[in-house]
Amino acid sequence: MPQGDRLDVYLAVGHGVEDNGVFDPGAIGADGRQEHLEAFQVCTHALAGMRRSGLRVVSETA
Amino acid sequence: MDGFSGLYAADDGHALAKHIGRAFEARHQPRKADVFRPELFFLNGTTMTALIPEVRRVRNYPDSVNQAQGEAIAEGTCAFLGRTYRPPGPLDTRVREPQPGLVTPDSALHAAARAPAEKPKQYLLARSHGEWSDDDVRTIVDFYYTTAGAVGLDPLLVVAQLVEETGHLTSFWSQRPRRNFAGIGVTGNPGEGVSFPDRKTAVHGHTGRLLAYSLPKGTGNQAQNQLINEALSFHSLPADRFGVAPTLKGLAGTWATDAQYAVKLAAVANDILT
Repeated sequence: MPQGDRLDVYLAVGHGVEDNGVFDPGAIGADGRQEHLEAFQVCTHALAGMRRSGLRVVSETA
Repeated sequence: MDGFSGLYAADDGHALAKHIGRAFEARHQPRKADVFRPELFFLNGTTMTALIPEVRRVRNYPDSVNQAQGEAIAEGTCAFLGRTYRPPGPLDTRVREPQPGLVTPDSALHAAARAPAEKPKQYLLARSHGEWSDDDVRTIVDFYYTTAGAVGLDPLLVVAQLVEETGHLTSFWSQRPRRNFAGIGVTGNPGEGVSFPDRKTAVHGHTGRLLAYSLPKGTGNQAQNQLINEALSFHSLPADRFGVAPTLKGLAGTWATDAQYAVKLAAVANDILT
C-alpha cells in the first residue's frame, strides 16, 4: 500500500523538449518514426496500468 | 532483434528490469539481455531505484503492441514493489477507445467521408478565408470531396489538412496566384514554394501528394497512380515518404516536422465535425 504521500514511480519518457526549448526526437526510423513519440505512447499505457493498480505515479505524459 | 532490455546501474534497478522482462515474456514480447550502465547520469544521479527500459522505439508499432509493452512495464513495476497488478478490464478498454465518429491520430486516411461536404463548407465560411470568395470556398471543398473520394481518401481529413496548413485559407501561399493549399515546398525562404495554375489543379496537387504518403509505392490503382503522378510533377517526393502515413500519425515528422501535427489535424477535423 502507498505510504503517506510517498511517490512510487516517476515515469520519464526520454528525449522531447529539452531545457533550452529544443525538441529532441531521439532516434528517427527509416519511415520517419520518432523515438520520443513512440516512447510517449508506451509510457501512457504504463501510466494507465500503474494507476489502475493503485501506484502513486508522476508521468511526463500527463 | 528488437526487444526489452533493462539498462541499470545498481542491483535494485536490475531486479526491476527482471520483473519487467518477465512481464514482457508473458506477453510474448521479445526480450534481450539487461545491460549494466553505471556511467549514465539518469541512473546514477538518483537514490531512487532507476531503470531505463530500452525497446527499439523507432518502428510504427500498432497500438496493441504499445499497450502490451506499457502494461508489461506496469506489471513488472508492481511485482518489484510487492503490489498487486490489476490488468485492464472491459471498462478500461471502453474508456480508452475513442468516441465513435471522432477523429484521432490513429484514424485511417483511407476511409469513406466522415462528414458531408456541407460541414467543412460551414466551417470555412464561418471564418475569414483570405481573398477567396464564399463561392470559391464552396467550389474548393467540392473539388476536394470529388478528388479525394475518387481515390479512397477521406475528404474530411484532406480538408482538415488544408485548414491546418493555410490557416483556413488565409495564408500567403494559399492565395492567388499561388493557390498552394498545403504548404507544398514552402520552406520559409522568400519565394520558395509551389504555385498551382488553378484551384482544381491545386486540389489535385495536395490530394495526390497526401495519397502518396498514404500508399506504399507501386500499390495504387490506375486512378490513384494518375493523381499521385500529377501531384508529384509539381514537387517530387523522397522515396522514403511513400506509404508512411496509412493513418494521420504517420504525417507527424514526415509531412511536417511538428511532433503534434497529427494531433492538430485530428483536432481540426473534429472541430469541423462538431
